[in-house]
Amino acid sequence: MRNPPELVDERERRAIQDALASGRQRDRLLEILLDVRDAKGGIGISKSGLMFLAEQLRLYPAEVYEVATTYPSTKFVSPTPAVEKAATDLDSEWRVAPAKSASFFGGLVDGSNGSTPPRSLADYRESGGYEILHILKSDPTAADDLMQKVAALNLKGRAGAGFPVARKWKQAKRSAGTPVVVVNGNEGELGVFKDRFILENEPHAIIEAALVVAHVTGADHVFIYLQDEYKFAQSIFAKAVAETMQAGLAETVTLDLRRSGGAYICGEETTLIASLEGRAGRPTERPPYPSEMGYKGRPTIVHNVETFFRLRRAWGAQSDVEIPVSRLLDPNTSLFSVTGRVRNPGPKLMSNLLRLVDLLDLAGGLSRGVELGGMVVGGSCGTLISAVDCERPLPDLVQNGLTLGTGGVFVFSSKDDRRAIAFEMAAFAARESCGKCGPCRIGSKKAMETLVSNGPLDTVLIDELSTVMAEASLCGLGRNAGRFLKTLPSYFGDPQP
Amino acid sequence: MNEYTIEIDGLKIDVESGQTLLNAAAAAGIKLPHLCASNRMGYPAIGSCRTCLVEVVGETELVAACNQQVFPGLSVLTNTDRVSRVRRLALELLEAETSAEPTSGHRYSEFSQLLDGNDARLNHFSRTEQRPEVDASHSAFVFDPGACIRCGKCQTACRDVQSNGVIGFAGRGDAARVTFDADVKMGDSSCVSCGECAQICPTGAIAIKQSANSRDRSKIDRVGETVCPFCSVGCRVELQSSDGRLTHVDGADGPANHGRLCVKGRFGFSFLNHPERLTTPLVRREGIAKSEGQSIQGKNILDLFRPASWDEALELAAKGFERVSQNFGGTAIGVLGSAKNTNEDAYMLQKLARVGFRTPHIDHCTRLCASVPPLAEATGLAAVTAPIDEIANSDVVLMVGSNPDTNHPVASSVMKNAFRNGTKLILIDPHIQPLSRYAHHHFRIAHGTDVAFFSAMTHYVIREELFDKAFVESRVEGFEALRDRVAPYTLEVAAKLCRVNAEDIRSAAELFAGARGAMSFWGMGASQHVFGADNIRAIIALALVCGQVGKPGAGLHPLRGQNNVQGSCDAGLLPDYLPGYLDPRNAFDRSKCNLLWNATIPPDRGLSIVEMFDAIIDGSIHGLYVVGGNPSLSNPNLNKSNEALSKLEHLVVQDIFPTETAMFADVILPAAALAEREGTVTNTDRIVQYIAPAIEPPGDARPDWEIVRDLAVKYGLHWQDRNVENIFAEMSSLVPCLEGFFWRDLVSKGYMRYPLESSNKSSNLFAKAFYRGKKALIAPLDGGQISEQTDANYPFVLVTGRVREHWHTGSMTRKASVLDSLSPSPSAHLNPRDFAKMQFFEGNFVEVKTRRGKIQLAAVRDPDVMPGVIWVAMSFFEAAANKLTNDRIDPTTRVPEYKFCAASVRPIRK
Repeated sequence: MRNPPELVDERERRAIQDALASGRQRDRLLEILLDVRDAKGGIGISKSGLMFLAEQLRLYPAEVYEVATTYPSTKFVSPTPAVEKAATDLDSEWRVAPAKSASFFGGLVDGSNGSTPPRSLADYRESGGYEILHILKSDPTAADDLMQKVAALNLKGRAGAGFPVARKWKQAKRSAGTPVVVVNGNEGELGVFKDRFILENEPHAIIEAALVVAHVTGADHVFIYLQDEYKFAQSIFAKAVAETMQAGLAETVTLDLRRSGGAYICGEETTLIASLEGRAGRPTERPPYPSEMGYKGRPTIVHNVETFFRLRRAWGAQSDVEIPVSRLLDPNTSLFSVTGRVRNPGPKLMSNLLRLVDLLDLAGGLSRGVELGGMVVGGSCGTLISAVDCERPLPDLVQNGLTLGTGGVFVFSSKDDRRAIAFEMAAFAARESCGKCGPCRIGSKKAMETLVSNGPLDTVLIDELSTVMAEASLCGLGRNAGRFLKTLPSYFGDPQP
Repeated sequence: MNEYTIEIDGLKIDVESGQTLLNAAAAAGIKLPHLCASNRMGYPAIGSCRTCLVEVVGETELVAACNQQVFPGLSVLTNTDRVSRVRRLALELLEAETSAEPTSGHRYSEFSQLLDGNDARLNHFSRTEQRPEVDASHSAFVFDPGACIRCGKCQTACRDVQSNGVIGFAGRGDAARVTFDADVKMGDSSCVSCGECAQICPTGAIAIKQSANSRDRSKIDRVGETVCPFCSVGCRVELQSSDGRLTHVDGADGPANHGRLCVKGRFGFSFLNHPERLTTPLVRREGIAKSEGQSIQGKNILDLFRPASWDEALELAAKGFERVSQNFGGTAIGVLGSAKNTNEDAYMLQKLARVGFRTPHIDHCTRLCASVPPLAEATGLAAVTAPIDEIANSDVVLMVGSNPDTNHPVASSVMKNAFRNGTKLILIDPHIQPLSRYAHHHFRIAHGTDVAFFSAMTHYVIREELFDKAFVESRVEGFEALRDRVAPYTLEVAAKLCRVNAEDIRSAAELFAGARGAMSFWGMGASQHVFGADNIRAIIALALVCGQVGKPGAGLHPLRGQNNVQGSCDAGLLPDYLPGYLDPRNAFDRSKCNLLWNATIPPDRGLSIVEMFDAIIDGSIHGLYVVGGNPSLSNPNLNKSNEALSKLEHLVVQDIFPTETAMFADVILPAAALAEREGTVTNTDRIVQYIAPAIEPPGDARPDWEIVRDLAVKYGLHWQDRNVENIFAEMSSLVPCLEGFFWRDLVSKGYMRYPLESSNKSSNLFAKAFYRGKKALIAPLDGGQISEQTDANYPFVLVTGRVREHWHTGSMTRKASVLDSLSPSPSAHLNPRDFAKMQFFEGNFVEVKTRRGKIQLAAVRDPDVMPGVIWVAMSFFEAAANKLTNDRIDPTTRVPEYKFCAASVRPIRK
């Protein structure tokens, strides 16, 4: 049963062939689809184009179709999820808030305000950057020393789970195959843009740190995986990577700049690796952990951007008053992404945060005429904090189980509908669920559906959904969404103010 | 393997390391709930259904048993309140996602059972309101998305296990769903109907259309296993029946298939219940002439034949042969067996021929494939040197003139698993075929130029000293003659002859010679030529000089056509060999048989199939006993064959159906099908499998060996006490490769691989020496040429072959309704360029004509066929391709040239 091949539009065929010219390996499938999209002015590949591409790459059409439909950035017109309709203004406000705020971030986006351009390679090297690579190359014991230093400093991953960095490296070194290093720049959390702040300011800090990890672990390949929407960061990195290679700083390592699939789940390690391999965007269960068996079966070290940035402390990088982001080299300094009802939203550096309300000062105070209603801390799966609690000492809240997660802080007013905010958070999980496991796929949708109504909260249902999602979901997305739901009865148990 | 103890709910069980908790528990008889996992070979943990979660003592989070490796000290709890609640909720969510009234076998599915077993009800979760459309576009399957829990197991089945890659799991979140190809209807997809997805689906969302409503296991009154009759892979099959009628077929966990089946195995068994099955002996009515061109199609068989008792029919059959023997001698009787039958059938039939009829003219349909004799010539063993699954250790594979994806689909799935794992394929086939997609090199050599091609590869590896010198020195005989023979074949010469690129031949030769282990497979495309033996000798020579035999990942493997080709040959169903390949012309060999059989057998090499038909026309053969073959469709040059059949004085046909051949018979004896009886069969991998009856035979049909025995008794032989067990014992005493095989072992173990002494260590033979001695023989070529060149009147090359859905002459598969609806009619495949040149339109009726006959059929535009070639499948009586084929035979193998003759084509009105 063979279908006659559909005719591919001549322009699209050329776009596909151009994309294939830079490499026909299967693992470039997502990149090829993004190249075709860009060549078509932002319009995704057509179905007949997909069939043509499958034939060219000798892949099953089903495989190519899966990849096209599981990564939103391909812009392939896929079957519309029912939950897509739930996207509202509130959500888009969270996501784009920093860009709207020209005073801080807009300048970076269009590069016209003259504020903090990315530090150049020359300036970076001037202040001692990349010297560590020289040391590592000339001193055979330096790598082990550095690893011990990282372990002694107890440096941890900054993506939420807080896994010790050195342990990941050791796992990778112990496992079979040449390791691979991945810079996870797929920042996709609701209202979080701290990595973008780092990427756009200090590209060489990230490249340097990634090359160091490669050297220490014996990796020969570094992927820099950037959020597809971060076009500006991409252009900065394209230049920075080229400079680094030209300067002979990455002679034994391939530096590979890749774009993400545009889904939140792409930040999950196994999904990220699947996208690098040109496979469908869904997580696989661990173990094996990527640090044992990841990209093409090789041990793969994935750290997020902030982790790489802070690593530099281990080889003595110092903060510099001229470079605000370098304050992150101080372990007591945190980078928050503040959004919502504030005058000046954006990335905020804060040392020793005592109370959540203190963040408001950094953000220029509350918007005009707004009374604080509370905050959401930690993004879409974070915690709703009442206005009263925002005044309490932060250590108390942490003791009661609050985690700051990736440092997202959304400020809402006393007039904002908290139920709607909770709905948006649940809707985000439903929209970003990859669909692989039942608890997340079905549970997140049901949670969103029950939160959309304004009646009394069905606490039994919420309890069942939160239990099954938190306990049974395949990956962190569903589990964290479940944990968030679990907090709702106590928050909405009080009568609405 | 390490063994230690783990604890499940306080119960200590012994496990082996390297297992998952789920499989280890199952092995110990503890069934943990699961849906998306399978312990079958090739199924990885998917981890999507979340129903196998357990508590591991010492861990805070629940753990999926399907992905948890066992380790010493592991202790798990599977039924705590926490686990039970989470499992119930996970199941309830899945149930909420399905539609209220799913169709198909949903009610009896694993999923339904799990819901009931865990008391999962829709308490708080409301059911989805969407009722997705049922996809009933496929003739064999129905897909009901409303019953689907999106576990992704079917995608794994299709992509990772069977490597067909049709099913995908597309979309995100709530829109994630099962799709076919790039989201087309199942019936419009590239589905090859293997049915793996339907067998493995835990909900019945993908189900077999015909048996979707018969999945209630309480209504199944008999479940039995047998071996599939449709190719040499030897897949084990589970037949479920109710009131003697087959209701459902599943793949069973056999040594060759590990639960997999192909479209023929899955759907081909429905012939068992076909109304045309022979149920009683039949005797030709007085005065009905044996005229040519008689067709059973649409004709009431009782117009030609009358029912008879077994006693009368056997008496008439025996008398007829006695008459022929008295008038013309025993050598005027020919006997044709079949490789579809058991070893016991084959052994009894050849013994009747030699001891009873005293004729050496005994042959069977293996003759028409004949891909093994050159291998026996080289190694001394007429069997593969390495089994199909050795390919998992190969880094390179040479595949010549074989289309396993169509003809040995389950073997192909094992091969594709390897190709997806990085094994490189060098494919030599003029046609584009399903494996082309996986090929590292695909050489579309001009038809009939194989010898030149392999000679050039051999020449190159010798000249560049890439060959295995140590192996050649110690293990190969005839190297110098080979070197001289291939000397003229430079890359350029071969490139010109074969019409391929010289640089590519060089690259392939380097790849093959440099491989750590390379297997060589060949099929009918190599053997079915008048120089078929030479083609194969050229392949073997290349493999031998490169040392690609007798080491891991290396080996020689002819892919063969029928389920018991190997066993039938071992049993001596051949004109040139007695059981165990003893030579009838050798007095010592002959005396072994004479002594055992208390007989004097003919001291000659007998005639092969094609030669027997010539002998009938010549008037030297007058009686023919056909058991399970259908030469009226399978022989080359059918018009001549049918003329011969009509000339016979006495023809006895023993079969399960009234075949085209049976229409010429004097007596027709109804046989039981393989699935209906007991015996042993030997697959291409040298695995002897025991089978027990899985279903009742219809009416008075009886096993072939039993009919042969009773015919022998009527013929005056004292064989009354023969049964399968003592037949097997007698046979294994004569056949060296069956040394050490005992019936009771086979019955209890189910299967054994020969030779026994190597099966403990390796199934890959000849690491130290060959059967014929330390050295393998590189035999000289016969040097034949294509027997019929194209000319102005017959400008096309006609090539015959098979389609995936039909087996040989279609006598079984055309009577299996699903297969016939998937592939209902014959067609002539031509390259689009020829289509344009001839001004044909798709579906036009054309007449294909050769010097021997003509047929009419629809023309199909097929870019996979080379320009100048007409390809026709052999399985359709309506347009019997063998009316066209040439009956010239190879001097060594005596196989006819099915793969090449000159033909013409013209449009006709219809």
